[in-house]
Amino acid sequence: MKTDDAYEVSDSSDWLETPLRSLSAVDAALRCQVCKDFYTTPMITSCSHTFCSLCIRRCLNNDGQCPTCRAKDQELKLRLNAVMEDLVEAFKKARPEIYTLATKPATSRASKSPKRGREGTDKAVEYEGPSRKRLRSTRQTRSTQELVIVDTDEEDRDFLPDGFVRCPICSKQVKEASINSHIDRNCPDESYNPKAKVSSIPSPSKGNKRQGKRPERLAQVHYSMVKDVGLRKKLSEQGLGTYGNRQAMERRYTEWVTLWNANCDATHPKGKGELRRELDIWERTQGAQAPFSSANHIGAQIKSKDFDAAAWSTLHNSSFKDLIANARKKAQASNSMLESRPKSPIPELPVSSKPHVVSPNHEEAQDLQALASFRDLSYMPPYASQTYQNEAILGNGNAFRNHPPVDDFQDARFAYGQYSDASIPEYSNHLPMFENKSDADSDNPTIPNVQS
Amino acid sequence: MAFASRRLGKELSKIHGNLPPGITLVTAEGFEEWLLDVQVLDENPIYMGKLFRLMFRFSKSYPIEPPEVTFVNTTDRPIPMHPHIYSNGIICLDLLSTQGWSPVQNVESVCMSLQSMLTGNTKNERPEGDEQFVASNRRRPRDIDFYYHDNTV
Repeated sequence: MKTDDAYEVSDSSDWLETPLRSLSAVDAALRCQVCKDFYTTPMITSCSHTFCSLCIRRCLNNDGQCPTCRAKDQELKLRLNAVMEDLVEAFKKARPEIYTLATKPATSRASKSPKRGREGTDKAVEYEGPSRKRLRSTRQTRSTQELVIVDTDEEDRDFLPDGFVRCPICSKQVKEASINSHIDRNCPDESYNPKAKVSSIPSPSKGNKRQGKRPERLAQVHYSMVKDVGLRKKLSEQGLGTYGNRQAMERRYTEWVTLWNANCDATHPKGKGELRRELDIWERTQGAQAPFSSANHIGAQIKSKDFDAAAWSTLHNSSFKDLIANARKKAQASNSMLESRPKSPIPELPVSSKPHVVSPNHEEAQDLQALASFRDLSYMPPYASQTYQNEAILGNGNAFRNHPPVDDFQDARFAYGQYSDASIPEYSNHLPMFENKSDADSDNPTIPNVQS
Repeated sequence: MAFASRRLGKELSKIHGNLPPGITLVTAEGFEEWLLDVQVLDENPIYMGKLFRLMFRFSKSYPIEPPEVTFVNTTDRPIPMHPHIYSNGIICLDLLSTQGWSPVQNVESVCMSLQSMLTGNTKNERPEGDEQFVASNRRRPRDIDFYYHDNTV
């Protein structure tokens, strides 16, 4: 449902510019505080706050607290807030209509209202904007009320709605005006049947009735209890990818369980294929395929024991290539500028199709450590003053000082502030080949041969 | 559309022309980094007549994860003096930490919290150990473990 209006950005503040300012509060009350959108499958917490199923499940997975009051809660305790769901669906349908009426220029409204005033006896007509809507809903409520009365008194055989009589021959309820013709025509089956009428009225609660077999919820996993093999098995049981390191797989499985369980709450659950597509989107924006996955864990991820260097290098292969191309261009430029130097420090850099990340059998631990620490260092807060940045580089960047291409490093890091997050890993990923070499042949200050 | 950009889109449409007094949106290009100006409205002598620039950086997991909020130093916008604001712009505020953050917070509410944090301040000073922290800190604000001890601000 969320994709339906993906590009329509509606907000409760829309009403503030219309004569119906008070509707802003109604609109706001029907929205989830996490996604700021109308509730999708609203769930109520033990502390009586309501959120979209997916939103609250994500929050509880993250910190186990209610976003509104910070009370501890569990996914298991969530219950569907069905009334809220009906409300949201009804309001979502009515909203465009009310909004168009409310935003109509005042003149067209003014010309219409006296006309309606003449024909209308309903009080609602006196309201300017949503009068038509009001009128309709008033009528609706009235007719349902009538029927409800009929409905509740069904068991009372002697009860007859106003204007009806019971036929002395067939005992059916017949309109008083047509009782004679009814008897004349040998009691045809045209009588008023309250049951039939009532069931023909679509009631929202009936529309909500969950039909068919509901998909079963999945349990979240205590990852500390599951080994890699077990986790892979769980993933493939669900038809999910088993690529990436341990952390990526855990996050993938958690997100899948969240999506799945939220879908179980829905009135009209989506198919598995649809959910997979949603997981794909997540994977591309926040999961293992994300250009910069959740920043804060990258250092730890690389340092971790089962860091998958091969997967990492394939994932970033293209960025490495770009960087080599850039570095070469830069090197050539500076070469032509610094012709006074006796020997060019920049050897030919053949483009290699091999990944340039450190190979696992190559002083791995040390290199990864270095890479991780560079990752920390490479975060130059753009709010820091220029001198602060310089200091940082001279202070902690000693390792690079003996390198002729120090300019490149500085450029890369100074430029950081101007780049989006997505471009950061390129620099940090780029590092292993320098770091690696600086350890291996530190007495030979040249750009290393990238054909590792 | 990803979760974070959807939510930020909504916030942005609400923010346009609808911000509380003293808070103005400077730039919001894309859903990664926004700049806002904050001003203290009463006659607090520490901040009178000064504008301060806030930078918000959003991760892809916003609003589940907190945004990274810092003051930025520009030629006409200094870092405000406050016992919980370091001179590199890093703010020590429970609300912005992973523990204190709640997804119901938003850009507007964070700005208002910071505005009131400045309004209520009477000490024209930096946090203890400011120089040392500023010189040695290499971490992103959200990775720093602040110890939130002071409940008066």
